[in-house]
Amino acid sequence: MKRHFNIFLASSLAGSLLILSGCAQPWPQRATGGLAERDLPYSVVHADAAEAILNNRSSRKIAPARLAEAEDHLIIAIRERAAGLCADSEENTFAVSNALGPVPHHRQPIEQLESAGPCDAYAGDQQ
Amino acid sequence: MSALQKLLAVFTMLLLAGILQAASASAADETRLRIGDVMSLSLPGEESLTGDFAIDRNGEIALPEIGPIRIVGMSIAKAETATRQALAKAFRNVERFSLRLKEQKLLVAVAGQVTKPGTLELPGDATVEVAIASAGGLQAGAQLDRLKIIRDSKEITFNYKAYLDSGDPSLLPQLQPLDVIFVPISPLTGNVQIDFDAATLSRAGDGAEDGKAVRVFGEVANPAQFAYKEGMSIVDLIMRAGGVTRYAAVEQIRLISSGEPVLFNLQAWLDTGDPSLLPKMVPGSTVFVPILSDQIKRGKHTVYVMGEVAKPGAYDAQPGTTFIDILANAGGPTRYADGRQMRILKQGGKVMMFDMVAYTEGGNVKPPKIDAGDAILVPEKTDNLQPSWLKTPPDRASHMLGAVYKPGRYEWSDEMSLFDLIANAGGPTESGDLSSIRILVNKDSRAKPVIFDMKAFIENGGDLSTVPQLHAGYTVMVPELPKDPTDNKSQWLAQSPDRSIYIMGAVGSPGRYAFNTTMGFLDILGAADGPTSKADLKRIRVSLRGKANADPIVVDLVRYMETGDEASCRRLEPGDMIYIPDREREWTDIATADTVRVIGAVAKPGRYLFNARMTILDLLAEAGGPNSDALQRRIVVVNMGKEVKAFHFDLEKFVRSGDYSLLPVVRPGDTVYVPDKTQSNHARFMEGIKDAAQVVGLLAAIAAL
Repeated sequence: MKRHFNIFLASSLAGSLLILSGCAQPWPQRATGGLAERDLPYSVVHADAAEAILNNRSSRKIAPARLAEAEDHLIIAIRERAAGLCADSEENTFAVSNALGPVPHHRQPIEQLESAGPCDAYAGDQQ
Repeated sequence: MSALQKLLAVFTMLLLAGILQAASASAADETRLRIGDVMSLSLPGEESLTGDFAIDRNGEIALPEIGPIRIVGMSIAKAETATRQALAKAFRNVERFSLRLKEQKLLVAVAGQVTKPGTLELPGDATVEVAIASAGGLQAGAQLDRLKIIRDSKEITFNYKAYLDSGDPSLLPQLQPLDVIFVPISPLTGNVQIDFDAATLSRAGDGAEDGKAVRVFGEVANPAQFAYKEGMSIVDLIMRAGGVTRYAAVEQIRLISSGEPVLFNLQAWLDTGDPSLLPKMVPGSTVFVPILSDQIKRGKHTVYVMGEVAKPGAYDAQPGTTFIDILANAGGPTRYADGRQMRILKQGGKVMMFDMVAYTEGGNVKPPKIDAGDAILVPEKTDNLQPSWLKTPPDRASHMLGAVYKPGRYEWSDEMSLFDLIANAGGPTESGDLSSIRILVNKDSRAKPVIFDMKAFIENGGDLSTVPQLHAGYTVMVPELPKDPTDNKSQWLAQSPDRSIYIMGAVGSPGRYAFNTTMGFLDILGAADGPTSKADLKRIRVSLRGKANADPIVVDLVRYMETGDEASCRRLEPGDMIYIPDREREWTDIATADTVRVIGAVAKPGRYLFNARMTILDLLAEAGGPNSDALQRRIVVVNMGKEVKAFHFDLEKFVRSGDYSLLPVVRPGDTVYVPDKTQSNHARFMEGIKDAAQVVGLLAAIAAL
């Protein structure tokens, strides 16, 4: 009887400690990408868009306000991509191309520019 | 006759002459004493009886101790004797008493229309003229031909005017003591006392005697009744009445004399000087000077010229006489004549127009043919200061209304333009809106409005054929702008919605403003005194009222100011409505998609506006930063995009390392949660230990029992 009681007591204490140690309520994963636009190189799509923005800024072919709007979308898209918010990044990337018009793609394949990111698989799924 | 006889005759004549001379001298000595005479008395030894004594109004002199002695009417000798006899009753030795006439005086009174009526003491030989002068002279209105002297209750009337005309003293009665001279007033002055001047009185005439006065009326300067003078002519009378007026028919003057009318041609008399042309005037004559228009000429060759010519009238137009001949005979148009609108009224009732100005300028206009019985009317020029709309027929007039200095009805000719009409009306006023001038075009008994932007035309120029062509009968209106955009309650009707724009919210002067397509976003913002300091310039909303089902658009004015890109300011159109929100507006008015929610252990939890270029650090700073209980190692960001994901951010580690790759992605619409320290793993562990100890303790107690 005493043996059983000791076993019960020890298991209760251990269970309570495990529950209360925080393992039962884990924190979400660590954030990243909040200033990802500072990290080079970009993805192919974003690199072409950034180059298009620079070219248009100097050539003034696109209205400055529209360019600024495209730049905002690009920044968000880069950040979201880095954070793994792939669908949102895709949407903002589309908004960039929508603001700039057709963006010429002449970059190398993505594998040669950067290591595969969390959204590469997403991009592959979409295709 | 012998020499002796001749001698006797001469002697007799000389004798008679001597007798006559003596008689004359004796008569001269017979001076009768009158009232007012001053007598010099002398009685040696009696001083009281030596001196001057005047004959009083009773004809007596009053002597001391003797009393009054009547001596008036006596000769001097007789008066001396009578006085001596009276003295002898009281005095002795009166043989040496003497009496002589020292001075004669005339006591009279002057009454009536003189300056100072009253009693006068005049020299003994004074006349009526002297008496009137001593009374201050005659007053205006005195009836000069009927002066009176009242003597012993009898009236003596005399013509003082006749004396003034002739200077004959015999026309004046001799004054006697105690006479009263009365100067009557003219009956023309009426029964009411009024002030008048001599000129007025003279113009009113001087004829007081109805039967003898002569009358003149009609076209003379001063129609009146005047006194008749012997030998006066009709010309004298007309001149006395101030002459004839400019309208007098001088060839048709009528004189009614002794009941017989006589025609007098003054013009002929002036031309010839023939005295036989002057009709004879008698007392009671009447002269009438008719007006010129009373003369009516008629004939089978007569043409009538009326209006603004030098000599309007009827003229003989023999066959071959031209319009110009007749006009020249009438002295030609005056400077007030409207040469463009001459009218010829044909005998049959037809009316023809003739533009003399165009004719004189060599235009393709010919003078009309004139026939007997025609009438030529030269109208007066229409004067803006004294408009008479009847002078311009409707088919030659246009109307100018609204915000011009002289709105009204203006004479129109198709060679004029819209600019001529507006300039003729004094131009637009300060509040006139030239950008939307409305022209009411008449066509087939219907009126259709046409809008013309004169402001743009003046500023930019353009094809003149785009300026609306006006015709007679059209109406032009220059709309008026409200004086103050906030004064829309009283004048909002003056500005139509299609010329207005509305700006509301956080601006200096929200309201309704005049607007046209040449203006831009900043124009209207500037007109409204600009945005206030609390205006949210990133989210200005514009409602497109003119477009059906159009969503409001958002204008980011901050971006415009950053980039200078005009495209970011939407092109506005009249009728649009601009709303500039306040940054401190109700939180329910702020769209969720524009904000990030910051909750938990921060100084100021809430919703914060956020843009793409900000980071979580900006957000935390705006929210006052984590408070002292914040669990800075586990700040949670929930991304609310297509995918909803949560991440945690270790602020402490970021601060220590500066590794910006640790920063989370935050976008408008996301939520940031800053937990407090009770949410940490350690705290939770310690809490678990505590709870477990309590459980173990409880179980141990149960087991012990």
